[in-house]
Formats: sequence, structure tokens, C-alpha cells
Amino acid sequence: MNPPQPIPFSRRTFLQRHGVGLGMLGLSSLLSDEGLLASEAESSAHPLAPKRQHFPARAKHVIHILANGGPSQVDTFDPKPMLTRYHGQRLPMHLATERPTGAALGSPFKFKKYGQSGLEVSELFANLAERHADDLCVIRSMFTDTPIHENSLRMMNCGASIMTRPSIGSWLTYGLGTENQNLPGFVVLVPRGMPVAGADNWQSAFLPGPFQGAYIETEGKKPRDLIEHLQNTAMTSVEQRAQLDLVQRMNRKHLAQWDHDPALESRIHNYETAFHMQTAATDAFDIEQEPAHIRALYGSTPQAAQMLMARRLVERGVRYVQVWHGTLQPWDSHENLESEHRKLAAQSEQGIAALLTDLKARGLLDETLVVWGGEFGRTPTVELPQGGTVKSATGRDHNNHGFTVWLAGGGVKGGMAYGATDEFGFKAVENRVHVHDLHATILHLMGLDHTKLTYRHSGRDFRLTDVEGDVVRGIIA
Amino acid sequence: MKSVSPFAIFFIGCLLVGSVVAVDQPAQVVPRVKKIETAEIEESRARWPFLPVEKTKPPQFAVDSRSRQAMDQFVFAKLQQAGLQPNPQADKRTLIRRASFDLIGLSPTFEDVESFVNDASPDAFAKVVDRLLSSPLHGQRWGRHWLDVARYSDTREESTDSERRFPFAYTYRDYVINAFNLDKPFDQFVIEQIAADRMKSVPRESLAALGFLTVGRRFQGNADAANLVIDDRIDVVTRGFLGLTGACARCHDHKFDPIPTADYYSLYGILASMEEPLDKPELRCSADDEVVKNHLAERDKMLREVVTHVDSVLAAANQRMRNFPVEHLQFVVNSSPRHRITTGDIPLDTPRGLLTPGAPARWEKLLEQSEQTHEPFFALWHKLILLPRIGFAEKAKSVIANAHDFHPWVAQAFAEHNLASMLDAAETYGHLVERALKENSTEANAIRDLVYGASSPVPIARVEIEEDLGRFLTDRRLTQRSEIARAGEIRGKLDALETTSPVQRAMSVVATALPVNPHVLVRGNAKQPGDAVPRRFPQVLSNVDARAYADDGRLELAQAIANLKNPLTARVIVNRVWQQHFGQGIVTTADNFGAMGAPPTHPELLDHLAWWFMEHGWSLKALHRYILLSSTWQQSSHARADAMEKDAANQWLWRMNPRRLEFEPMRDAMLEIAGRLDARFGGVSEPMTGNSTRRAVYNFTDRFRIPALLRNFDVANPDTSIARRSETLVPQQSLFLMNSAFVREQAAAFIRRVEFVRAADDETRIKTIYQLAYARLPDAEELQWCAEFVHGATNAGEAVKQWVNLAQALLLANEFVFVN
Repeated sequence: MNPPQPIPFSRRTFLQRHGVGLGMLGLSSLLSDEGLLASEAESSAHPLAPKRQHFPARAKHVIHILANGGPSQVDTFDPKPMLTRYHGQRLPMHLATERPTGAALGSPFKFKKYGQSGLEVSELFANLAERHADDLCVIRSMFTDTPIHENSLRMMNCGASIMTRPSIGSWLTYGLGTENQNLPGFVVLVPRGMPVAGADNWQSAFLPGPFQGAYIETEGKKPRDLIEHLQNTAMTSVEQRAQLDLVQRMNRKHLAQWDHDPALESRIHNYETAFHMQTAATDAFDIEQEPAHIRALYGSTPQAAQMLMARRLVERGVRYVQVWHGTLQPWDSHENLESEHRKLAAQSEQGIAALLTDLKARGLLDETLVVWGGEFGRTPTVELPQGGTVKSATGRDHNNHGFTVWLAGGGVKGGMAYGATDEFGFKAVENRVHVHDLHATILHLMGLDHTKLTYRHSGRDFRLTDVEGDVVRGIIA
Repeated sequence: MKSVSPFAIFFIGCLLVGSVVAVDQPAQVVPRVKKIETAEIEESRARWPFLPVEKTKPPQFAVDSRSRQAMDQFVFAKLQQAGLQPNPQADKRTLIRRASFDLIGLSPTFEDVESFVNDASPDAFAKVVDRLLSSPLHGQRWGRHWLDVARYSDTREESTDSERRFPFAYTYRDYVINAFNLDKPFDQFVIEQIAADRMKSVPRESLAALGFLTVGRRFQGNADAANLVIDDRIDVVTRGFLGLTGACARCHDHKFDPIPTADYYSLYGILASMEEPLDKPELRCSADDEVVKNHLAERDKMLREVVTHVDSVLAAANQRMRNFPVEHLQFVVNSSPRHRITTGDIPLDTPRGLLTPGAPARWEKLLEQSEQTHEPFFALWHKLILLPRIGFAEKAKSVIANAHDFHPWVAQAFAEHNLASMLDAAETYGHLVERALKENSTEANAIRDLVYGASSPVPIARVEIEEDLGRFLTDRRLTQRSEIARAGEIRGKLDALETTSPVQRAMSVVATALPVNPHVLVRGNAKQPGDAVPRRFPQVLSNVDARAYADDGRLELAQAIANLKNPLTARVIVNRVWQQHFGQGIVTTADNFGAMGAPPTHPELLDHLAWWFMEHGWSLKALHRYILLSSTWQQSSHARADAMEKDAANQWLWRMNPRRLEFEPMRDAMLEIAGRLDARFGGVSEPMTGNSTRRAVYNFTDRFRIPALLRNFDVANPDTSIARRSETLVPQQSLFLMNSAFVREQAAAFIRRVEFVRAADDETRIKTIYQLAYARLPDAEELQWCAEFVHGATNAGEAVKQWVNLAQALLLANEFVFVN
């Protein structure tokens, strides 16, 4: 538990007195026509208006690419020759995970050194490494609490494996607001369906509802259909404008009758914002507008399309974008790891590489923190199928003891590997980084002190990192 | 351990029998915090929320001429101190609209308004209030407020889109609505929701009240699920009724309030001493005999299937204990400090098959037990395991040579054997156990009894298997994945059947045969039990009830909460009621009356209301009437500039707070105006998104998928008790009103209404729309605007569309969404 913190935002005073969200306070002349806000808007009470950071930020946006299911570190970004040497034998060490595992399983993939930094990456991410090895900051010493998807996803996204806590995207939009009021501040892209643990992953929990991630199924839909209620199918734009003009006429009359109550005023303004959102938001998701060479750069998979959307969103000021590989837990290669991981990497790698290239070309990489990883990693030992024989074992189990996450852009050092697992890749042993530490670091890069970003709920000041978390200074550029 | 009846319990978290079950969960790191001393609890009793409720005298000096009720004098006195004047009384149209939304969650009709406006009798408004309070729509409105507190949901949380419905959550929702309509005395309402099953004379329907405890989260997939479920229930009981954040004291003494961890575990003991029957009690039948008979037959079959599955999993788990004595003992050796040759954990695979992760620990326990009882079979083991790994063979030889008084088979087997390592010894021992299972002799029986007999920890009890099957993926499991998956399928089938049950059942609980004797868990860690504590009421409230409860104590707990001497219960509920009527409570943190909560703005008023409420038999309807007939409540909501300057937040109540309608009354009112609201009482929940026209309180609330629409409108999060919803205004709300098919449909239905169709000219049509939407007539200016808006249509189809556009405009405007 935290002692009461000094109040970071003027809004807090209001929150503490009223214990509720902010919308009932005034909102006057908030937005410019573009919907882009100046920072003086902080004085207003709109929950998503931009706020001042605790200290100057290194990054303004986050794109969190979730390889959900748990990619194997020893097959991607954490080479382990010793494991290959032990292939087929019992390791001199073993750790319990979700399911029983047996002998060592050497990586079937080849590793190579890339870039000036000589960062070692497996063939699965060869294109990415070829172009961006020197941009990647690979944390090889991540660890988390449990080898269970649901718990570890909640930990990765909300900083708590069990209890109902706001996701990091909700915390960041609560803490910083967002730059474009025509778009949600926190967007969640999934090709189809939901990841394991569902909406927990982008929940606002006790933070007010508007801080929740806007969940969007991206595959096979027209941009205008992506956000619920974004389009009017009954009226033309001209008709709708006429309708709103009448509504606002009525509203202004009503406002005068009630002595210009600020809450009434705020709602009047929302109609104008909503009217602009209809075109602005559709536009943001419309990747068809991109020139052919850009579309070719990204490729044509659903994962690639999401990367391109993510770029268009941060370009327009969206604060936090979660990009999920797919429904449930695609990277969960309990069996046939070699072919499964090859397939998964092929689906996503080109898009990820293109995203970094494209962000860089537009000068956006400096202000956008890209994070890639799963909820945990995989065991260096082979998973033993129950009822089957060891011969049929071709996969790896979940591994919370050690895994890899990489970051790029947004104020982190490129071309570096930080921390290390043991010689087999089972457990983080050097410069260990817990998920809480990663969260503290992301908040730090965004200009927020994770110990000061708090919210009073149920008699207690909560934070993303609970009572944990140290900023990983060693990776900050 | 107690025996469990075949249908008793299954798939549920709270299977704590006799003592706190040790659960393996990494200890949470919690910073050191101060301990609460008894003296501090003593001192805390002098803090305002713990002082007895006093009958306070209204201040006499206040503006009496404007006071209608005693409560007004408390408010006016504060206003005077603050140098503020109260607003004048609101006009009659405003009053009836405000009362209508407050009490039934719908707008008044034009006729209602007109008849009230034209009623010059002094009790005209009292008549309106009484009519609204006696409407069954009232329970639907206030039931929703309570369901926010009770974290109501129709589903347990699941990680994926699998069967997750609570088949009978709706019976709790119906109970709540009914209780508000019947004006069930609040003390009775409290007791039934905590302990209806323990009450002597209570109607069968009241068993549904126990849904208060059981509609919460289940924390599926967590090793600590059983404790977390109890934690959730402690939280909803303490915050819900007492305004205390009792669940904060789980891992350490409460940092701000006088609630030591001991109190948490006292409540834990009470709320852990219950379980949920798989075969839930019937409330009433709701279909004809043939249908019911078929359903019950099908249901019986499934209940038996559950039992059969548990039986077979239990048999399989115990069979593994018999099949793999060698492997289990070798596991123990591999993980022993002297004989381990690897670091970390020990793999579970063996040449003869996989062990389950929870099994080897039971063999370890058997060995511990054997060492303590000095029995002869494992006596040699205890000597051998102490030998070092290096040079084991030599040293073992001499130990065996000097051995005596061992079980004869042991003496014989080891005399014949040259042991290379402790693993060899384990193999020899394992084979002896296997042999004992096959033979019938005194020697064999002694071993069998030792390892598999009633006092051995190796055999697995039924209740453990049930618990294992109710969760998945924990590191102490005794079952296999396929067995758990199958259990999930059966549960899904049974729940699916029950969701369409023609028989209504209660989500009830029953007391366990033996109550749980709680221990403090050090830092909330079930692996570290500390001091034993009695089952009793929190110590700071010992003047209400200081007894240590001999039985489970749940009824006593309920009675202590619903007690005239309890300083919190009445204050907390009158404050919740006040908050709904004024937009903010006298204590703005309605679920936290502790030190970190807000102090009351009007402490004497709070006491006055609490006393008044208890004096009037805990009647909520009487309280509503008392408040609504006050001058304070009847003030206009005008934002007077002079007063805004002094008290913009209106903490001194110089005006009524204007409020944005919550999602439910906004939606319900649209349906009603469109002539389409289905206010039918009770029954299975239906999703309110889409085409449903039922009142929103009957929405199917799905923890796993809360529609973004509802979150955007601040609908309560069902994962935790919500004292007060956020009240945000965001553009996504506007988008819903502007573009959703739902709103468009209501606007279209508007102009299909007979009143509209019958209207002869545009002016009458516009007036009709205003009467329906705002229960008033438009003024000349509005008439002109609307007439201009609908003109210009060139054909009939376009004209209809224009009228729909106009009707929708009225629903979009602030007048519709704000209550003044």
C-alpha cells in the first residue's frame, strides 16, 4: 500500500473531493478545429485532455506488440549454444512450469550477428534484425510470477495477475490524456476474437470508463465499421449537420435557462467533437489510403495491416496502441514448435520490421516506444505430452522464470542486449527485470514517475506497479 | 476431514474444511507496516463513525419559514454559517420530473405533469411521491443501485468464451427488486443477504438473497482462488454494509483504520464456513409438470455424471499412488538436500509414466510422519537419507550391517542388496511397497496400512479432488489435465441446462459441517499460518457484539450488522440513499467511512437521518418520502453565480445538483417515450444491447465481456462493489446517441405512435413530440425552429425521415439527458 501521494494533477483535487470522474465539470473552448489540444487544456476537466508529465518525456506514444501465447526466447532473441550441446539430455538444472518437461531441446533455428552492434538474432527475425538490429534494445532477463497465460497476461498489461487493476494503457491515458480528441486515447487491435483473459487486458478497472482501451477487431472489416456507432446509416452528413444545428440551438436555449451550468456546456461541446470523429476516426483506420510502396513494405497479413494502422494511429496522437498477434494464444507452441514458430514469425515479422522502418522514416520512432514480447517465454526443455511418449514431444512449455522482451525507439538504447538468462535460457540470472520494472521504465520514458501516478479507490492510493518496480536505467539512452 | 455428501460441492472455490487450507502461492512482498495495538482500537471508538448514532436536535436558529422537515434545519444552519442562501423551490414541472427519475427511473408523462401542475392542494407533491413509491417500477430503479453495490453479474469470469453463466444469478436480482418494492425493512434485508439459510423463520424465496455473497468473482485459474473468493465476500460485506474497507487488512493490519489482521481472519472464519451446494434449492416452479419432470430427470442424470466423474478421477489419482511408489520415493531423494544432483525443481517424467505435481509431497509427509512415530518400515530410510552422496555405498553397508528392529522385509531386502546410491534404496523401498499391495500377510498388511491406510497422508480424499477439478493449472494438483478438461465439460453442460431451467433456484450457501477455525495468515500467505483467532465481529465494534461465535457465526455476523447499536449500518445506508437523491453523499466516499474516506459535510444531519431511519423501522420508502418532501431536496438547480463563486462543488447544498441520467434510465426512458418499454418483472437476464426492449436492470451482465458502450456510459464494473459511478461526459456517448440503430429506432417509433399519426397539422405534430419527449409543450420559438427543420421535404418518404430526425434531435438534446 502507498501512503497518500502528493497530488500530481489539478484534477486530483476534484477527484478526491468528489470521488468520481471529471466530466461534470466545465469544458469551455477546449479544442481547436483539428481536435488537437494545447497543453493549457490541462485546466479543463475533460478526462482525456492532455496533461503535463512529471518530468520531460522521452516518448509520447507506445505501440505494444503482443506476441501472445509466449514466444520462445531461445529460438528468437536469446541464443544458447550450451542448450544445443545438451540436446536430448537432462539438464543439470530444472524448473517447474505449467506442465511437465523433460530433456533439453536445442533450438532448431540458426542465430547470426547483425548490425554494427553484432546483436544475435535467430533466422525467425532475420529481416527485422537485418534492418533494425541497431535499433533494438533486447531485455533477455525478463521474468514474471506464474506460468499461466491469464495471470501473466494480466501481469504484463495490468501489473497484477489476479486482482482487477487498470491496464497500463489506461494508466497512461489517465496520466497523460491523449493528443487527439477525435480518436480514443488507447486503442486495442486484434485481428479477430479476443486474447486469453479478454478485456481484462485493456480494462480501466476502477479508473473511469473512458480510459478503457477501445477494442477493435481489424480483420475483414471496412474502416468505417471498426468503431461502434461511428457512422450514421440513416442520414447524410448534411442532414446530420442540420440535425445537430437544431440540437445545439435547443441546447443553448436550455443552457441559458439553467445559468450556464458547466456540465451542460461540456455536453454541447461533445457533439461537435463526435461529429468530427466520424470522419477523422474512419480516416485513421483506412490503410487503403497508404501508397502502394508503403503497403508493400508492410506486407499483406492481418498482423501487418495492424502495424500499419498502429503507425497511422500514433501519427494522429493516439497515446497507447496494443497490437495483438491473434485470438487466444497463437504463440503457445506446446508442440511442433519449429513449424509453429516459423509460421508465426512469418505472419508478423515483415510488418514489425516495416513499422520500425516507417516510423523512423517519418521521424516518429524517437517519440514512439515500440515494445515486443509475450506474457512469458518458453522452456529450454521439451514438453512431455501426458499419455504420449517422449518421442512425440516437439514443443516447449510456458516459462515465467526467464524470457525476452525488446524495445525500440522512444528513448531506449539501440543495438543492445540487456541482462541474461542462465546458460540454457531457463531463468533470468543477470540484471533481472520483472514486469513491474518494465512498467516503471515505460512510465518513466513517458515522463511519469510510477510511484506518483496514483488513483484513490476504496480507501487506498493504487498504482500500476503496486509497491514494486524499479526503472531499468541501463537501457535508457 | 468431514465426509461430503455426493451432491455437496463441486467446482467451487470455497472448499475449506476444518482449517485454512495451505495454498501454494508465492508470498507477496508487503512493506513493513505498523501493528494496531488494542489501545488504538479503544481510542478509535471515539472517532465519529464508531460513536453511537445520536438523536440530534435540529438547530433552531435556522431559516425556519422555509424548512418543511426537521432535516432542512440542519442544512440551512450550515448554509447560514457559510454565508449562502438556499435556492428557491423548483417549479412543479421540474419537481415531478426529478422525483420521477429519482424514484422510478423514468420520465413522467405529459398527463402526469399537467395533473400535478393543476393540483393546488397542499399535499399535491406528497401524492406524487406516494404514487411513485408504490409503483413496481420503483424496485427496478432502486434495485439497480443496490446491484452496483452487490457487484452483480450473470457470469463468473473466465479466460475465454466458454460456458461461464451463473444459471440463477437472476433470482438474486429479482429478490433485490422485490425487496425494494415490498419495502422490506433494511435490517431484515441485510440479514437475509448474509444468512437467509441460517434464519429460523424465513420464506423460501429469501434464500435467493444469498446471491449477495455468491455472484462475485471466482478467480478461476488461481492457486489461491479459495481465499480470494472469501476475500471478495469480506470486501462486499464490509464495504457494502459497514462502509469499512475490511479487505485491506488481509496481509497486514489496516494502515488507517482500526482493523487488525486478526479481525480480517475472524470474518474469514465466518465466511469460509460455508459452501455452495451443487444441487441448489428450488425457489418455485415456473412451468407445467411435464416440462419440469423432464428437466429434473435430465438434471439428475447430469448431477450423477458429476459424481461419477469425481469418483473415477479419485480412483485414478489413488491408483497412481499405488502404481508409482518407486518413482515417488525417488523424487523425494532427487529433491533432498544431500542427494540431489541437479538444481531447481525435479522433473515429473519417469520411465514408467508421469507423476502429478502434488503427489511427491504426500510421500514426503508420510516419511515425516514415520520418523515421528518411529515405525519400523522406514526406520532404515531415515538413517540412509542422512548419509552423504559421496561414499554412500560404503557408509550404507555399515548402517545396514548395524541395523536391527526393522520391518522383516526391509531387513531381508537390504541385506541382499549392495546399494550404490540413495536412489537404489528408494527403488528397493518402492518395490517392497508394491509387493505389499499384492500379498496378504501380517508383514504386507503392516506396510499397506502404513502407506495407504486411514492415517497416511498418501491416499487422496474426495474433497481434494473436487477442489483440484474446480481449478486448473495449480502446482499442487493431483489430477491430470484431461480429467480437469472433462470436468469443465460436464460443468458447462450442467450450467447450460440450468440456465434454461423451468425451475428457479437460489444461489444459496450452506454452513459446512464443521466451522473453519481461522488463523491469521502472515502477509496473506496461506503457507504461513499465524495465531488462531476466534470467529467474531470486528473488535472496534465490540460494543455491538463481543462474543466469540461457537458455531459458524454467519447469522450472528448478520445480526450484528443489522443492529440498532451498530453505529455504521444505518449511517452508511442513509448516506447511500442521500447520494442517489442529491448526486453526492453527506460522506462522499459512500463505501469508506474510515480515516481515508471523506468526513461528513453535515455530521449532525447524518445522525439525524440515521436515527430517524431506525426509528421508522428501517423503512427505505419512509426515508425517500422524508427526503423528497424536504425543502432541501426541492430546491431548484440553478447555478446562481454568487453561490457558484463561494461553493461551486455545492457541498453546502445551496442548490439541487443537476445530474446526467445514467445509461439505464436514459435508455429506459427512450423506450418508454417510444411506447416500447417492456417493464415485465423478473426472470432470466437478456442482453440489453441490440433489440431488447426490456428494462435495463434485466440486462445480462457478463463479467468477461462488458460492452464498450456500457463502459463509455460509466455503467458499474461488476468485478467489485461500486459505491458511486463515475459521471463522465465523453464524445463516445454522443456517437451512440447520434448514430446507433437503437436510438434511431426509438425516434422512428415515436412518430408511429397513434398520438402523432392522428395529429392534423405540423404544429400539432411538433407539440406531440414535445409532449412525449419532454412532457411539456414547446414555446413559440421552439415551434418555429422545429417547423423550419421539418419543412423542405420534397416527398412523403423524406418527410417521414425529417420527422424522425426531429424526434431524435429531442432525444439528443440536453433537456432529455439532464435532470434538474
